[in-house]
Amino acid sequence: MYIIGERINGTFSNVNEAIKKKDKSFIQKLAVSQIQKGADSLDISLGPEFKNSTDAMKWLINSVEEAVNTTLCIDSPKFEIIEFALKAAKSPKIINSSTCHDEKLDKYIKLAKEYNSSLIVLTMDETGLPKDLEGRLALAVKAVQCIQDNDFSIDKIYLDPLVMPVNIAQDQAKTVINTIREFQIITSPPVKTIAGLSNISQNTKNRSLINRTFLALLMEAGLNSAILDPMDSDLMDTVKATQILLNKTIYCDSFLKLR
Amino acid sequence: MENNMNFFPFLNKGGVYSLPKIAFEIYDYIPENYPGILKEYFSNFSGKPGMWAGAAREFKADMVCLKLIGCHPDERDFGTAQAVNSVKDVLENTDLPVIVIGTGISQKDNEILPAIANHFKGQNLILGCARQENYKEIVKEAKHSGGSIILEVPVDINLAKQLSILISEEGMPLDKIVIYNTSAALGYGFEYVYSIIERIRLAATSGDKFLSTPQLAIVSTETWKAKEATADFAQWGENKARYALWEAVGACGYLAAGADIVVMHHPEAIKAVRLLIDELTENN
Repeated sequence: MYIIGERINGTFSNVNEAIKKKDKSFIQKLAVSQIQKGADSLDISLGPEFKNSTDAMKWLINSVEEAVNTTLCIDSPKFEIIEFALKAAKSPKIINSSTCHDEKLDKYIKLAKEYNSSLIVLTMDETGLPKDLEGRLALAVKAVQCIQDNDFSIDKIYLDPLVMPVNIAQDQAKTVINTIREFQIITSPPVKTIAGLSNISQNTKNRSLINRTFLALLMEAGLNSAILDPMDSDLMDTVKATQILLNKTIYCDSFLKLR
Repeated sequence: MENNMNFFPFLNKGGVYSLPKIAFEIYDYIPENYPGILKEYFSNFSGKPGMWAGAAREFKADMVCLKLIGCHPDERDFGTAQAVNSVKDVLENTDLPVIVIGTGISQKDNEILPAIANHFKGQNLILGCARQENYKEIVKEAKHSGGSIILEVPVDINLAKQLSILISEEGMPLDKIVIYNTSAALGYGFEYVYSIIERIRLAATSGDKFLSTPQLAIVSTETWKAKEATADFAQWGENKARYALWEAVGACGYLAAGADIVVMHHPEAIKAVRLLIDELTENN
């Protein structure tokens, strides 16, 4: 399971404050601790207040790169900010994200090619998010075709079926699980899949419990990667236990100690 | 995953870091149950491990494995000083890498193995075996010796992984650990060990770093125990050839499973396995 740590995100008030005050030490502690807890990569997101600020993005990237050596997942709804970040960052990169809207996807694939970046593709388009598995699958197939037409490696793509909060769209949880399973038969070898895990428990009670239970179900369906909170040790323990139950890792008594 | 391991030495064409090794097993003392067939080759070698070590190159072995049978309390119960002398004798008579294996009795091994680690710092010895009940005593000295350690588990992949973790937590670098799942001869549990060696190798290919260690298989002394190999029973075929074949087939099987070091003793068996390794890896 490839884990992308979600904590460096300006929508969290403490991160927003740190960006505002240029508190490098706060950001660097957050970067280091996420890696120590098992993150393979770090999501970097400015949040609403600084969403247009290239200065803030540059500062955030520099602060993180000074402290850790890892892949950065550049998270922004703005193409210009992503392009800026890809230029500014020295680390390997993942673009978070593009939709399947033809023009947009084409533009993002070309950007990813130019900067040798990976790309997360959300299976929604200009008409919105499909309610069912078939709708998401159709968009995924179209996206894979666009990727192949652009001669971009499927290895560098993560398909995201879009997780919805369970208290708003309860039936969508099972749809997402089944969609992850179905995404894997589009290509051979299968294209990688990803989920923004914390979305499942947005505004619910017992968020950690919902997150880790959902993650185990997604892992059984074949999920490769997730954007999540590595500081949630119960969640990280669930990853380890699930890998053993799915026979992906050999059991040993110290299995929880391992990364 | 970067390491020096070549996962499929018999399939690769080029770019191999490390080929499987034959370790010629020798002893500080020849015990009562030493098969008669082997006495034809080695009756003059008892108590002379250095002489034996010198013969390893002649048999085209890659390594020497000194088993301290004489130190076993039920054999001659040699003490630490004699164990150290045996190792010294071997090192003076060979430039091949040397494995030293103790008695299998933890109380005795806890005396002789740390002493050997301490005495031969910098000689890059591979010391065995550390088990669940005594690994701390052995690692305490071994980690400062610059050499490696063999961890021994009874055909248990989960315990192998656990012990690999515990030993590395005690300060032994991960690239200085060898896994030994107690081997068995053909007909005596061979396939159980085969499947464990294979599973460990598969786990290594999927990135399990605590199982990405070299694996050792001992076919020499296991073949002593097989009556099908040692019995002078004409209906089973000519005894000498049968013995050599039993040992060779065991070694070949373990190599196919993924063992990196096979510990052998019969010169004809070694010759056969040498031929197999050389011919199957000639493009590497």
